[in-house]
Amino acid sequence: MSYSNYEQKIVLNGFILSGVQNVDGNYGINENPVRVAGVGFVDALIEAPLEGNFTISRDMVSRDPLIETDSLGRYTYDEDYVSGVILYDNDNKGFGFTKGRVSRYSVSCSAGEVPTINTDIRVFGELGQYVLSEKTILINTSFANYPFNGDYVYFTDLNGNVLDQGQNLKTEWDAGTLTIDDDQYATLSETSRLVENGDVLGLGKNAFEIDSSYQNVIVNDHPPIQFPDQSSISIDVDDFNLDAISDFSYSRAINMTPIYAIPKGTESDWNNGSLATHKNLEPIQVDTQYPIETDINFTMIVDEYEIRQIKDRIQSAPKSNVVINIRDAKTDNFINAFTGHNVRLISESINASIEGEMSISLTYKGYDTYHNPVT
Amino acid sequence: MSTPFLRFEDGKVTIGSKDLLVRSANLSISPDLQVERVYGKLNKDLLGASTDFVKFAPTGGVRGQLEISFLINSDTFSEGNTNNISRLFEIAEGMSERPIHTNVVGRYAFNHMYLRSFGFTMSPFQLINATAKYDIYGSIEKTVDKRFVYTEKNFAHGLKSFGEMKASAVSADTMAGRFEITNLSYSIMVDRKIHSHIRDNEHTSINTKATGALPYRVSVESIEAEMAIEANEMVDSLNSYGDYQYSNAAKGLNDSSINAYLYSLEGDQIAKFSCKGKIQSQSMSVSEGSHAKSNIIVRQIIK
Repeated sequence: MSYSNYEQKIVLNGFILSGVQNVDGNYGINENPVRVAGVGFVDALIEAPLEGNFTISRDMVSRDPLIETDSLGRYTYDEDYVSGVILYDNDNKGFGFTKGRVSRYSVSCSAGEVPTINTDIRVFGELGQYVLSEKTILINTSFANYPFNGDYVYFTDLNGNVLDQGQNLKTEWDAGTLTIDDDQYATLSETSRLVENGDVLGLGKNAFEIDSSYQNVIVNDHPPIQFPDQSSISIDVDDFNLDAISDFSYSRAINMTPIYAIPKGTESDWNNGSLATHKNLEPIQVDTQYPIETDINFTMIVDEYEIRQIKDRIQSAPKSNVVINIRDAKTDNFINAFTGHNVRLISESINASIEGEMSISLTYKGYDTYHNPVT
Repeated sequence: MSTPFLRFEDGKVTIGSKDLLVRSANLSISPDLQVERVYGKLNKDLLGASTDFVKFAPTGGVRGQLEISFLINSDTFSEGNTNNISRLFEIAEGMSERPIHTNVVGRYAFNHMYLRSFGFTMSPFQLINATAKYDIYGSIEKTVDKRFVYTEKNFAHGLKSFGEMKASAVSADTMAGRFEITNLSYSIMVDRKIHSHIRDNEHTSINTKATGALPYRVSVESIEAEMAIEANEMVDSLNSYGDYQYSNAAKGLNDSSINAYLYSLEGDQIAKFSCKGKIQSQSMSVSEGSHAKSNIIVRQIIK
C-alpha cells in the first residue's frame, strides 16, 4: 500500500504543522570495521549512538508554533527538546521521535512568494515506529498455536532459545490473559518456535500484535491560518531607511554537543545476570554551543541607498537591530517577527545587469549568547 | 605464498598457546650492552693517554618487551568463571610466578614471558580495548607466519558494559545527586624482580643458544591496581586519608571503590573488575567549547 501526498500529518510539539511542503527523516548508526592480527576483518561494530535528522520545509501560512520565547526573549528551541511524528495510514502509523533539537531554523522569501520556513532537527535516542504512540501489545489471536495443544508455553530470547523460567505460561496464553510489556517484547525472537516434539511453545514476536494509537499526540490547537504577501512583509533596520526589498533570508544555526555516559548499574545487576539499570542509550545532556550565529540577508532595489565607504565601516564597526515583520495580508494581524539584535553588516554587494534593476544585497551577522547578550 | 613483509592478516599473536584478537602489537628485544673504554697509548698532543674503545660488553641477558592492544572476547578469560581472568592476564595476590611459554608474534616465537601490566578502557558505544605489557627474557626464534580461525565473536563493548563508583561505600549518586561516568579505565601493574643464582649461568653451554643466560626466578614484588573515571562530579569532603568524610568521624570509613562490569554486545557477562582502596587523586577541568569534566582515581594495593 502506498500513501499519497495528502495522507500524512506532521506533528511537532503537539501541533499539526500547516503548509508543509516536504519532510525528510532519516537515522543512522555508525559502524567501525574491526580488524585483528592473523585474521583481518572480523566484524563491523557500532561505535556511536543512533542519531537521526529531520528536515521540514513549509510555507508560512500561520504563526509558527515552534517559535516560542522565554521570559528573557530567547527562543525556547535553543535549549529545549522537541518531539514529533509523521503520521500516516489514518494516523494509525507513525515515525516519531521524542528528543529532537532544532539545529537550523531559517526563513526566506522573495517578492511574489509566500515565505518559506526550513527547520532542521537533530534527533537523539528514541526514533521510529510506535514512538510517541500509546502502544498495547496483545495476543495475536490469528497465530497458529493460539490456543496451544502442547503442555508448556514459554518466552524465547533474541537468539531464538526457549526460556524455561520455571513458570508455565500455558494457562494465561490459552485464556488470552497473557500480558507482556515493552521490555519483555523487545527481548523476544522474531518468530515463535516449537520444541520437544511440539510439546513446548516458545513465544516470539509473531505471537503478539501491537495496537498503537496516536490520538493523544495532537494536544495543541493550531494557530489560525494567515497568509502574508509582499505588501505585508517589512524589514526595519536601525540606522538607515530601506529601499524596496526584493528578497530576504534569515537563518540561525545551532551547534550542539551531546554528552553520553556509560551505562550505570550495580553489583546486584551483575549478580542477577541482568544488564545495567540505566542503559544510557540517549545523551544525558545536550549542550548548545554558543554563540548561535544569526545570518540576515536582504536585497534592495537601489533608490536612495548608497554603498558605504568600507574604511569607515571597518573603523566604526557599527551594530544595528534588524527586524523582519510578517503580517497577514488580509487583516494586517501580526504573524511572525524575526529579529537580529545587535547584528553587524558584514558584506554588501551590488548587482547591475541588462535584465533588471540595479540591486544591492546586504548581509548581517549576529550572535546570540547564553548569558550576557551581545551589545 | 609468503610476502617479504608480513601482512597484518597473516601475523597472528599467540600468548601461552592462546590466539588473541590483537589490534596492535609491539615486540622489542635487545641485549644489555655496556661500552668499554680504556686508557690507550700516549698522545703527545694531549700530553696524556687517550681513551680507546675496546668492545661492547654484555651486562645481562637478552631482554625484551611485548605490548599488545587487543579485544576482550567472551573466551578471552577463563571459561566457566566470568570473574576469573586466565593466567595470561592474571595479576592477583598469590599469582603464579611461572613464565608464559609458547608465544608468537607474526614470524617470531619466544618463551620466558612475564605479565607486567593489564588494563582496559571503557567508553560509551565503543569497543572495549584492552592492553597488556609483558617482559621477555631470552631471544626470539623465526617461525612461519600463521593465521587463525576464531570460534567466538562476542566482544566486550561499552554499549552494555557498565560501571559504578562508591565513595567510602556511599553510592556516587547518593553523594553527588546524579553521578555519570563518561569514561572508565582500569590498570593493574606488577613490579617484578629478577633473581639470578651465582654460577647458574656460568656453564659454557648457555652460549650454544642465542637465548643465553636466563633469570632463575622473576618474583612478584608488588601489585597495584588503579581505576580512573571521567565523570561529572568530584568527591566532596575528601579527607587526608583519601576517604569521603560524610560525617564528623574520619576514622572507620570504608574504602572507596570503582567497579567495571564487562558485557558483550550480545549481553553476555564477560568479567568483573574492581578496585577498592583510597581516592588517590581527583581533578576538574573545563575548557572552551566543552563541559566540566572530573577525573577521579582510586588506587588499590594488592600486594
